[in-house]
Amino acid sequence: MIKLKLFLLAILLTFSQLSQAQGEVTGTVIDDQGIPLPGANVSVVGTNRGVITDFDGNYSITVAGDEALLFSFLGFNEAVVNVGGQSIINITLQPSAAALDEIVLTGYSRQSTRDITGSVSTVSSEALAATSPVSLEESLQGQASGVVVNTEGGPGGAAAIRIRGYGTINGNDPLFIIDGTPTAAGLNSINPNDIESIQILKDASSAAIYGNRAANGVVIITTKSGSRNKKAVISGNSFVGIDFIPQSSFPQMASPQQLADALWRAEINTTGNTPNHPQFGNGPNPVIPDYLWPQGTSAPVDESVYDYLTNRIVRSNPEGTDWFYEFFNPAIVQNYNISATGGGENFDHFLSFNALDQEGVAYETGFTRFTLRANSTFSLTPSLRIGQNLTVSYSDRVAVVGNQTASMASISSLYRIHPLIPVKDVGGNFAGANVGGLGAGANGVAYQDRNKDNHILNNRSLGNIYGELDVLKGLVFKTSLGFDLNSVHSTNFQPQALEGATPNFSNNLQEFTSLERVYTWFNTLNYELKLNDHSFNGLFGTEFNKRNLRQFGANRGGYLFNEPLNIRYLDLGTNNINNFGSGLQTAYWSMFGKVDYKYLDRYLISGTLRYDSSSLFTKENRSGTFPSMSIGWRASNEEFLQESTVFTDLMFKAGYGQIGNDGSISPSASSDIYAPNRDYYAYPTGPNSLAVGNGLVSRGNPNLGWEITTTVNAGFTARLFDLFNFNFEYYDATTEDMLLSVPADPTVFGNVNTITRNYGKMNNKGFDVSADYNHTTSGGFFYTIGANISQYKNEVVSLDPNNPNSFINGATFTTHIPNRTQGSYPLASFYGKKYLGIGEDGRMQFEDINGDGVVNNSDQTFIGNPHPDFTYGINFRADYRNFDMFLLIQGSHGNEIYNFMKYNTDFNVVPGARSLNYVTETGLPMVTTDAGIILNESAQSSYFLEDGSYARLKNIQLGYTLPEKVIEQIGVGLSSVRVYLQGRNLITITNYSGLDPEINLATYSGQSSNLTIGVDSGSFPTASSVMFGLDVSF
Amino acid sequence: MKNILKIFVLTAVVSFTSCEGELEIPIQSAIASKDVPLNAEFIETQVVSAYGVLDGHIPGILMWGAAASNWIYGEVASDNAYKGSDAGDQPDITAFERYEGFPASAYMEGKWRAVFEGVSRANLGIDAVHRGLEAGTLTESQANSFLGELRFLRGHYHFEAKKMWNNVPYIDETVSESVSNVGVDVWLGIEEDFSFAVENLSDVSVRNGGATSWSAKAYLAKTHMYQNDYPAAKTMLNDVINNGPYGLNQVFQHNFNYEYNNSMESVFAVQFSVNDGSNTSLNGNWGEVLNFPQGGLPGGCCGFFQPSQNLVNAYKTDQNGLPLIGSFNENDVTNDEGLSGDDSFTPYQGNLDPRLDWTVGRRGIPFMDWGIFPGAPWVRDPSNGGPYVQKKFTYYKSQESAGAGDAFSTSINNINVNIIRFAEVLLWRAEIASIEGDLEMAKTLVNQVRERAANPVNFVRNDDGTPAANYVVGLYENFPNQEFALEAVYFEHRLELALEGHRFFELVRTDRAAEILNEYLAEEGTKRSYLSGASFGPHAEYFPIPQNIINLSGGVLQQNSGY
Repeated sequence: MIKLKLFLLAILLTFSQLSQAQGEVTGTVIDDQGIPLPGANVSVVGTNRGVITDFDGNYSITVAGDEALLFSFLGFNEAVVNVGGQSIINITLQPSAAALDEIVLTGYSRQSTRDITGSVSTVSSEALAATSPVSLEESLQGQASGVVVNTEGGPGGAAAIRIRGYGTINGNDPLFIIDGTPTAAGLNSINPNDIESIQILKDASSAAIYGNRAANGVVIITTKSGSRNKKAVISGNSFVGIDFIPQSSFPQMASPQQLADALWRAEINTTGNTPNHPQFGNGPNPVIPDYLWPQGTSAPVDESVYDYLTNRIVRSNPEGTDWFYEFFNPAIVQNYNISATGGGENFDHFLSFNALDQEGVAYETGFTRFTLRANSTFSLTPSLRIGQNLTVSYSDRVAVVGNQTASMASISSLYRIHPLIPVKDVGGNFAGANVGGLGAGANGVAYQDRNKDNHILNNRSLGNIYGELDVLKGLVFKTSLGFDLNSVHSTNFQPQALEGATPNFSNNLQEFTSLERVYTWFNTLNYELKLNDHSFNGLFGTEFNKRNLRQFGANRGGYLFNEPLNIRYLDLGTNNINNFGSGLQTAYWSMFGKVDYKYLDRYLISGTLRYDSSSLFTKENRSGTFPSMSIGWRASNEEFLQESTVFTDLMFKAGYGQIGNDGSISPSASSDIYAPNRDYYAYPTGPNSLAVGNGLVSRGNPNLGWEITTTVNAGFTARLFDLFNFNFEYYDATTEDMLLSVPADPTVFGNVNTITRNYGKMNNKGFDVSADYNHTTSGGFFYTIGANISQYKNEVVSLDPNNPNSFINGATFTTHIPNRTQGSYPLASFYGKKYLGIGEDGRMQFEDINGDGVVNNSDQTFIGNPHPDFTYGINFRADYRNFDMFLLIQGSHGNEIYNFMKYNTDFNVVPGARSLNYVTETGLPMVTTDAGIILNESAQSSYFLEDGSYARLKNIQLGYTLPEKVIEQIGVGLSSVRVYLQGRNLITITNYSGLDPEINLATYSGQSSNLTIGVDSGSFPTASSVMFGLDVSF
Repeated sequence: MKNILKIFVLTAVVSFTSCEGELEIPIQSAIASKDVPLNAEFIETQVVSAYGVLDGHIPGILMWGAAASNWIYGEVASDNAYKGSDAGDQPDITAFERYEGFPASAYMEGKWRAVFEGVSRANLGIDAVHRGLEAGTLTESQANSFLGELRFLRGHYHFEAKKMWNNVPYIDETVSESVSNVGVDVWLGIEEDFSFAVENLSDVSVRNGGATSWSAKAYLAKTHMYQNDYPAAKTMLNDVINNGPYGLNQVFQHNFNYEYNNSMESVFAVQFSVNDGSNTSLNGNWGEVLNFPQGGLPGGCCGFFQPSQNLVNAYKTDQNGLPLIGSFNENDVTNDEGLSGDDSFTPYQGNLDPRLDWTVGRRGIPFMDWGIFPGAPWVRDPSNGGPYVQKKFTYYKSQESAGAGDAFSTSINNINVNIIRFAEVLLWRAEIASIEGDLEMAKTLVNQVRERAANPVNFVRNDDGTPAANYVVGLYENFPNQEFALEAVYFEHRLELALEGHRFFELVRTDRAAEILNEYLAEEGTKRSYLSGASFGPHAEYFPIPQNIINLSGGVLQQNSGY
């Protein structure tokens, strides 16, 4: 009865409202920064009448005088204003406190983090800036749950980001979207200062809209933009720092005397006789000579007869050369950034310039980068906008010679070169192992010195231009053309080098250049509708992407001189004249749709469908359709919790989805390929001439199709007491029909026997947890503390369904192949003999795995796991008056590292340097020269495994902002000045004996990079830094 | 505004229509199989590629482990040579030397891959010929000429596999999945391939060192020899010796000198070239890259493949210049082991066969024109590998610019590796004669080989022209009995062909391996500590089938017994 009365009253009120005079109200909606908010909702309370603000935040609505207007915009608190006869209502919306980063881009459109039912992590520009990163990837380490960053190390080095473990074997990089443009060319040329925010889409239901290549997660990078109606602000920031490798991390190596003694002991242990050594003589005890050349001489030597070509006199270094100390040196890093932002009534603009100069801690390495960015938007009419983003980048890198899998690499040589060898001979030229008797370890300092003028130059232009049209109310059409032009040029001159065990008498120049062109064109229609308690968002779009890569290079040798640099051009080389070139083209086309629906801000549902077509497959298998959906329940908006002071926000969510992945397989994987080749397919027609043959260089599989990852994600987010945020998610992702290069029987197929197949099945499951707490005390002390922890469990469910024993090897390191990928085991598990300890006979004991009563190198099994039990990050931030502080700790727990460097340092395989452990009799097995024993003991085994857990103080920064009074006194238009001191990687807690426990992949690109995980074969250590920075704005 | 709208509408229409047609992109920078022309011109390039892997040189393997010369399996794993280098360097080779080869060794996999890559390339070519014939893009005679060469090569590659592993499958162009290696008559397939080549190849090769009907006959004879089918071998050998184009070079060393590649003595050889436009001279003799003296010669590396004391001793001769067949190893030819380069040393003064000093580098003897071999300074680790270095795959200093490669080590060269040379053909025929009791013929053939060695032109000489050692080589007066004849033939084979990759396989072929090698190990174990305790078990007559290959066959291939 009461309800009926109320109903009648409402009708009466409605009529009375209608009788009020109606008028036009106009105004502008801006945010707390004064930036207009386009697309904000302006609706009349209690009705379904409403408009959306235009690109400049302006609106106009017909309204009665006694009505009220509701202003709402994602990420901002709603505001209600009674019209009360006003004709102009300008309003400033305040950002809502519910979450730090309210608006996220979840695929061609914007959405509130509140309403996300998939799995998305956000890293704000603030969190990024706090690390003063020189590369974008490194700044992500430890910042978001489920995200692990593997860096190659060294200035300008590559990086690989893995989201929620290893979703597949081949092509496991996440998809990077920079201002809407997908790119696969890495983030090295992006200026981290330009980043506004980074969103990481981790599960299928959030990533599915990006389809192909999104199966391993999506990293959406949004760069900064200008502000409308705002006077220009110019800000500058810079820092200068010192990078270094702490000497405490250098491996402990034996001294020359200890090495010589061990040599004697080994021979006596084995044969009972003392050896006859070219350097140490043949006496009862080894004699450390004064000179290594003339070989093993302790008598005075006339050094004046030194001749570089015929008589390189080399003094010995009885104290022992610390090659790590010689190789790693403190290096200066400088970074300068200037940006300008502002805008007028119909446009805004952001402009920045960055210069980075980073010396490498490794001898004679470095990275210099310049970037220019211009982002702008223009409103042509109230309903039509165009905009652009552009970055142009140039970089110059001098890298460390050789990577982990190279046989000739600078860093691995530090473990191998005998310490008796000095860095330079008496003539000031590099000394090396060519003196005899001291093995073949190379002089890594010499490698780097010769490499110092070998530059890798990179030019990149990346950006897009787009247009947006409000077609109808709530319906927006957008078209965007993105481009990524990337060119690389490198020169590599190898001068004559005589000091090594294998002297190189010739010289050689290789020049290499590549040009990559990628463009992406997407078009979307976005429709938004709010009807009382219903809110609906629909998206439909298409996308076309084409990539074109061409590269070529050339070689020449026989240069008359090694110096000066101006002779290092191909034209001046006289022999070994060679050139090579190749290229590829790929494309994909997609169609996609997404629907989000929300009822009463309590029940959310979202569904996505994406149709992908890839040129990598044959016409018959080219296309696939992949669905996903997710649901959310905002319990905190239910009546029973609405009044709760505990749960400010509580949402449960669950998602399911499938994403197709073309695995970045070779474009030729679907066909047999023939190519002429002078190297492997040619046959001599005489002592210096060839007939060139055509060989089958790869085998194809026309039946290749999409690799499909199916993910289930479930969890909840909660905000408690308005102070504490908590997020928990569990996921289970299975990838089937993995695109993998699989070997077949070489007996039938010859050596060209790998065929790409849809092969095998892999599963990752785990959880991501993140939490943060922030609080401001009455005394004005603000602090926030956040933590995230992630766990994944990887299992290769099966490879070949017909052969459970099929497996795929990882990379080969000399004679070791530590990683093996096989069904029922984690990806790239460690494989080898099981080391049991030292037996009574002083020899290493291994388990008889195959139970044949004989312990030999056939007794191999799975011995370890490179995957961590969990990874974590802890960050802390505090502001008090003019002071601020940031702190970030990052770590990994429970992963094992296969320390392959022990192969050289702990066994008598080849002469050279040894670990301290080797020469102390309590350490390793009784030293020996018996080849059979060495073969047995040095074979791949769990002896090489070490706990790779670590906790690292990634970043600590202390800042001070100058008081306004001081700034006013300074004048010159300054508006703010902040100075800071920062330390990176200053403390590392680990038991790992190698240079650096932050090791993951051995190579950072290519189809097999995920098959070799956690092997240390001379990886580049992460540098520590101390720096001073200055931020100013005008 | 209207125009802008129009543009938008147009854009929308264009973009929402499918771009799927754009996805049909031809494969770039390679030739897809559907575009391959099956004509003579193309198939010729496939034949070249089938020859191309005679060097055992494929990506991703240890090239010395698949060397065309088989220096590891044919020589280090025999009584002729030690591994050399440092003790722990390339330890798998030590395992073979101790007859403890193991299936997981990368050497086995590399060799297997290289050999069967050869089979695969031959089969691809054969298949292309068949399809070319069907399509009418080839004439019958073109087809037969190609097939002759391709089947010759397929025979060769299977022969390599057969002598290494014995239990191997026979793979022809129709095989497309793993087939068993148990109870397979591979010899039959090899014989058929060589017989086809005999029928279809001409007397003269169409390419540098290519197969001919004559080389096919010699190889067919070798196939019969390896099956102890002497009558069949005899027919072929008679034809090759009496009617073939071959003869002995007057100068022994010319067989190991690139300027005389494909001389009349070369029946079939793997061709090498350097400075030929390939990258890092990948068509050079990379299989021998480790086998240069360490330290001495420019770029010298890496001191592997060191001749044994036992081999050196075999070159001693008596007052008549005849080898000391039964007693050669009782006293050692003096060596400089334990001496530094500065210590004085007098080389052996007794009678020697000059072939020693074209086979072995030893202290005090001119090392080609590189100077007098100085002993320890040119040997990587004498305490491990003894005082000698190999000499057959070494070029003259004067040939440095034309002969040496430009890569990893200047040891890479273009000296051909003989698979069959005429001296061996003569000795096979002598072996048959001995077995048949035709001792006169056996003696004549052995003496034919010795006569060349005795020619003073084959003495190694000092700068002043005097012989570098006391070379005395005589001819056999007579072979008193069949047993002696066979011993003399076998001994001559060793002296003549030492370090050319045949010794181990010859010992197994003639069923002498266990006896000779165990005796060798007993004696050599006292000289080289790492050989002590080793023995030759019967399973070691064949090498282990690589474990990875068995795995990749899904277990269809079976391991040889004893491994």
